[in-house]
Amino acid sequence: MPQPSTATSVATPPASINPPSFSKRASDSIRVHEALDSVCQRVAPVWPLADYVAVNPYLGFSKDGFFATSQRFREFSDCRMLMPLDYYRQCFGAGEFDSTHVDLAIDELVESRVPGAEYLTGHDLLSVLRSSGDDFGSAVGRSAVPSTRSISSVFDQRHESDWTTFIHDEIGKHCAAYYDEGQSLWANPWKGESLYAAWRAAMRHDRTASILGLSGLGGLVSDLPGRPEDAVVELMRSAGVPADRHDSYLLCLAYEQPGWAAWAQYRSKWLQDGQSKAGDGTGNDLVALLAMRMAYDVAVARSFGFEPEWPPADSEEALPPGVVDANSDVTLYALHRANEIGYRDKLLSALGASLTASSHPMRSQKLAQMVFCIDVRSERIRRQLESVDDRITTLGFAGFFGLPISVIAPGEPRATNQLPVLVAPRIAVKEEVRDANESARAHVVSQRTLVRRMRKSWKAFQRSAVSAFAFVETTGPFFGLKLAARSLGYGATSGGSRYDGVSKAERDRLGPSLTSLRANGLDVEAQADLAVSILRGMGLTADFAQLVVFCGHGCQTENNPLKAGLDCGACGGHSGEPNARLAAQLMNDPEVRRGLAERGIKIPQDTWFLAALHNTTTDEIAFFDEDLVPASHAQAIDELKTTTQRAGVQTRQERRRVMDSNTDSGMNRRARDWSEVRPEWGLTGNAAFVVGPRSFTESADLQGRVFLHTYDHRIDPEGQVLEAILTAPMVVASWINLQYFASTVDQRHFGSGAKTIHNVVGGFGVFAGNGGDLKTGLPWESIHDGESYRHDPVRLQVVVAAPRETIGEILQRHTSVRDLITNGWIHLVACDEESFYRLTSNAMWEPVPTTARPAPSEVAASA
Amino acid sequence: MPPLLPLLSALLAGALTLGWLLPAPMLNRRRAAAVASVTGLVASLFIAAAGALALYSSGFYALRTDRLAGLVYYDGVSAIALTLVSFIGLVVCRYSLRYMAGDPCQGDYFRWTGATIGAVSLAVLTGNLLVLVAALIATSLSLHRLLLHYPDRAGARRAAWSKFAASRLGDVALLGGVGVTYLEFGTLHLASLFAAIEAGPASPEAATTLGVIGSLLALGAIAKSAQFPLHSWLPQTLETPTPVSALMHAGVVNSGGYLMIRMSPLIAQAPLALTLLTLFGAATVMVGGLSMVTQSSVKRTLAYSTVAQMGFMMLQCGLGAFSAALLHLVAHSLYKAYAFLNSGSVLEEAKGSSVAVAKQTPSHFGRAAFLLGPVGVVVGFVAVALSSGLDLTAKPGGVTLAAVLCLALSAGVLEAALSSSRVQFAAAMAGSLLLGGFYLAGYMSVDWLAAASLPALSAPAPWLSVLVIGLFIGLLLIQVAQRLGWGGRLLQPLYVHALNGFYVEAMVRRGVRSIRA
Repeated sequence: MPQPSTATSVATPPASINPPSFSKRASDSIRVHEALDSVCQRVAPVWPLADYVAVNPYLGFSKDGFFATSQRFREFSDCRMLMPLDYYRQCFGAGEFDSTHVDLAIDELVESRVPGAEYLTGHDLLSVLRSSGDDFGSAVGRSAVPSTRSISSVFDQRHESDWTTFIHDEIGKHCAAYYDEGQSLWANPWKGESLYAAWRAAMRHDRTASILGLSGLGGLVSDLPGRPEDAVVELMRSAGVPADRHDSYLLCLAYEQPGWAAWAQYRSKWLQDGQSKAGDGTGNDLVALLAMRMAYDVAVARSFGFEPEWPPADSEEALPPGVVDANSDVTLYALHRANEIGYRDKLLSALGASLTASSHPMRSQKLAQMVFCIDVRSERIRRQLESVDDRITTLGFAGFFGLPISVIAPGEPRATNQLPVLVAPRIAVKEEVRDANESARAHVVSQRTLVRRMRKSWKAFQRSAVSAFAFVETTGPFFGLKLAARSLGYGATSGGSRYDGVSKAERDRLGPSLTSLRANGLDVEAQADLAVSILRGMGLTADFAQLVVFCGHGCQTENNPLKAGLDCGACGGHSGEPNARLAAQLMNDPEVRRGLAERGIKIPQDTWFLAALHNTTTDEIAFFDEDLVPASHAQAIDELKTTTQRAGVQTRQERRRVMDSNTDSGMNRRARDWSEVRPEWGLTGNAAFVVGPRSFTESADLQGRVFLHTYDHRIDPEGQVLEAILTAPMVVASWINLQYFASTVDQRHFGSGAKTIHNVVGGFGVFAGNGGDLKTGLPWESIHDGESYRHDPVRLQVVVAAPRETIGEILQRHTSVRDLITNGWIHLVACDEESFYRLTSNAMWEPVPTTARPAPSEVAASA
Repeated sequence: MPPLLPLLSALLAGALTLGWLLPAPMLNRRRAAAVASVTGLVASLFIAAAGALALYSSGFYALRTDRLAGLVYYDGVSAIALTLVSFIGLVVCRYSLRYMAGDPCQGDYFRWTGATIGAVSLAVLTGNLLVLVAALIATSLSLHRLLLHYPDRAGARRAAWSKFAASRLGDVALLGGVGVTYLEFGTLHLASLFAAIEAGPASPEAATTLGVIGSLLALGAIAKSAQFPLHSWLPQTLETPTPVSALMHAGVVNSGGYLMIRMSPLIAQAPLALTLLTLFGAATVMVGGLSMVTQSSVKRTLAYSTVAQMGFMMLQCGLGAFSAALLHLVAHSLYKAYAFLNSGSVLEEAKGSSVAVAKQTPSHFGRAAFLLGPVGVVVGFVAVALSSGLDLTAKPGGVTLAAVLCLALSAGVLEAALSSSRVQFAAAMAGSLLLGGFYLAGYMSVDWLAAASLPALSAPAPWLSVLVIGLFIGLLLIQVAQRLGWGGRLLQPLYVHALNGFYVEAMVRRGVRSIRA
């Protein structure tokens, strides 16, 4: 429900020259509302920087096909979904794919009925790939100008003016001021009202537009109706947008500023009254944003007496057979798909070899089972750990370890959500000093409150218009020392406030409290149920080792507002530490263990669960709550630490190639250097998601490009565990994958540009430079090393080791997940009976054509 | 002893400016070499400058008036400024090693960074007024190239060219000032000029000429140091890499203030110039200060903060408090360089001050503290000043600036009083005394190093002092009213105008080139 506006402004009815009949108005209004609803379904949200998680920016289009979406975008924006031809030429030249893959790609395109695909031939595409430059011009292709554009941009093009940029700057200014979470000392006076009301109130005083020569905006805004929905209806009429273009026009405005649109969407649908929502909030900020944008459009039209035309949409001309347009979308799409198939081939042959090699020793004597996050960065360290000590086995599971929690630090106003954003938190866990009494805990809170309040006053002193001068003159010289220290890599500030008010002796014991579960209404039975679901989910229900390690992950980086993007996405863009620690405590609890035994999971007496954190920047692994470990396990832990250290060294050595670093210390420097723009590569390169037993992937070097989820279909006959995997972790992996994809193929709309000009706005986002649109997605430095792309934009290749039938049943129950696959947002391959089958766009299973790769069965035969 | 280290510094600075002559493609091809040589030169410059400062403060270099002084005029003012500039330069180079890694134009970037640092250093060191102005122009042109590091960004081009226009306006005034100086004195050597001026104007005509020269130089400085209404380019220059912002805000934008301090013996003889500086400075403090507190992005806050700070520095010059202005220049540069380079940590910092605050009702203690806090601050500051042996009334503008400082400290104490927490209030009171002490220590150090080169002035015109103090009382009232939610009807429009930087940017844009081309 749209919220009624709280604006108290003059709401005089707009003067309309020719009042249309009532019924005409009503039907107009219904049509506009329909268009609005549809646009609000399309735009994907973006999270604030502190909780940044990767979001699939094509989220709202997943009911349509990938290629159809790219064509739809062309109607109203210059968003691109494919790389330029040169990129595919380079991949081809580098041997990433070959002619067989091109042929297979064409077949797939024809199969999924991509228009124009039937005219493609392998021969033509190869000649495109082998030629260079613009031998194949794009003369035949359609123009790059979308058929539906904003009025201001049509006007700008015609008159060589710059109103559209100005409008974007203005909207950026208003949104930044309204949403500001504490950057400005003097906050927007209308923060308590809706975005739309706040904007109208500010526009009563704002003279910028009129000074620059855009007259009449103030009057126009004050004449608008009080509700943004009504304003959109009215402005749509004023703008004269034809009814069949309502949808495209609104989408055009939304994707002109994809950042603010996404933020408005987040504030409307994923946040309500400070509580996180799973996309079902009821705000209307996006509608307000569109109303604001339309007002400027109408103002441009009125102020300059400009009447926009709405030319018919032009469709790509079908080419006669034998003529190939190198830059047409369908050509690029075929090459793109060929590149993906090239990768699929390499992946499947590596998996096939691993599957049949079975050369890995039986791990009879077990030191530790280490559970890592499915994150692609776990792949390297898992491989190295197993190679250093064959008494270690590793597992992959979503890094929040199945705990739907939010964590509240002592004395802090807000809880941090430690779970995937698709899930709403169910358990509020307190962070507190373990084994401390009430008064000690209260002391922590009061100390912390005092320290932080003083910091706050100090900041106010630093920034107020009266005292900023005195602040500078009295403290400036000390900043000279700080400059020197930071330049030399000392005085790191990251994470410094975590232990405010906590004494040194207490620090190691500050962690999530298990007793919070009971406070949230989870009695022992419920806790045991939770524990069962976690262990079942990771397939760890028997054969427990002496140590079971839940290893979360986090990054270490200085002066980096995009830090959360390098942390654990499954933990809502935070470190996985609290989840790992809570999960380990839960499993060690004697009562929970009793409950587990009752439910059929018998954990041996001498099995201890341990929490750890994988530092993905330095590949060091830290362990927690060691004081709780029984003395009997001390030696095992020492051995494990030695192993993790050696594995860390080897992983760093392996990563040197990708980090352009000659020494181990290079990684440590990156972690502490305040000027470092590439502390690590994060999930760059992610390409596949493999669901299966470790034996499936064990002997394959997957180069840190693959999400690994442990799964054994033999202990999941009903497919319940698989159902959970395909509906949650796989979707999260796809979000991450498509975020990297979009940031690479269209850095301008879905990437955040050069980090060097990032300017944190409002404490929740970044501007590139002065202002304008909010920048979302990966920065340029995260996907490109200055010489070449480090991220190869391929859609997620999922490989599931499970019977096709089980997978098919699950997909039938979850049509939205099936849509992702059949519409080409994810590619799914099943490994069933030692053969690979892919799910086609018609939801049929088809054997994966073997090219250079030997089929698993062949490998088995020859072995 | 001949000033060998300052001469060496001048050589190094000259070598850095030679970067102008190198072709960009070559620099970008041999990126590593370009980066290493610029960083090496800047590091050497810093070492030489720091060494020279140490020698100067131990009394090794007497102030010279010979021909060598025409080449390098090394005194307390230039010693401090050179050390500062080369230090900031070195920090910026070190930062840019990694920050700009992978940028295909990193070589070119380092060349212009080096050239900017070199040119500023030359301006600081030279003993010739014409060379000084020429070096400032070279600085501005080198910086222009850095502002255009991303030439495809329309915002970057707009900012660079509006800065270009403001700077060239300033250049005209400065060159005019240099011309009249030469006509009047027949020399441009600083040492000779200062010697000639020391006696004071011989005739009313000479006084008028001095007034003209002083005003031209002041106007040039006003244009170069982002003073209202020529400041609007500064908040627009965020389209350039962060270390360039650091260099600009900590080094280059100070050039106007430095010029005023350097030429203070002359400026002091031109009351009109002093009045201009105070008025423009005060207006800039108000516009910059109010705009600063309403901005919602971190770098824009910092940029408007620089505008306000530059205004304050000019205002100090106008009051004749050149030592205080020099302290401000140094302190602000260090702070602002750090603030820009560290601007990516703003989220971490917000985390460090996030706290659940219960709704407070003002207690009796809070009310009492609110009233008594400022009194305590004034009494405390005067006590500290007296015990350190500093006679505020003997320093030009001393009383006015002390009053401004006390107002600022009071603002901090009032904030603590509002919290109704005794510990916090006590900490704020102690802190304000400590800060007062820091200020006096900083002031006395700078004054000790530089006083020999700065003129002794009588107190500024009373109406200027009243204006300045009134301005700060006004700012304090606005802050308290906003903090307590008073006067919403009046403050709402003020908020919107301040958010828009009082439309100066829009007016400049309209004046220069309307959006509708």
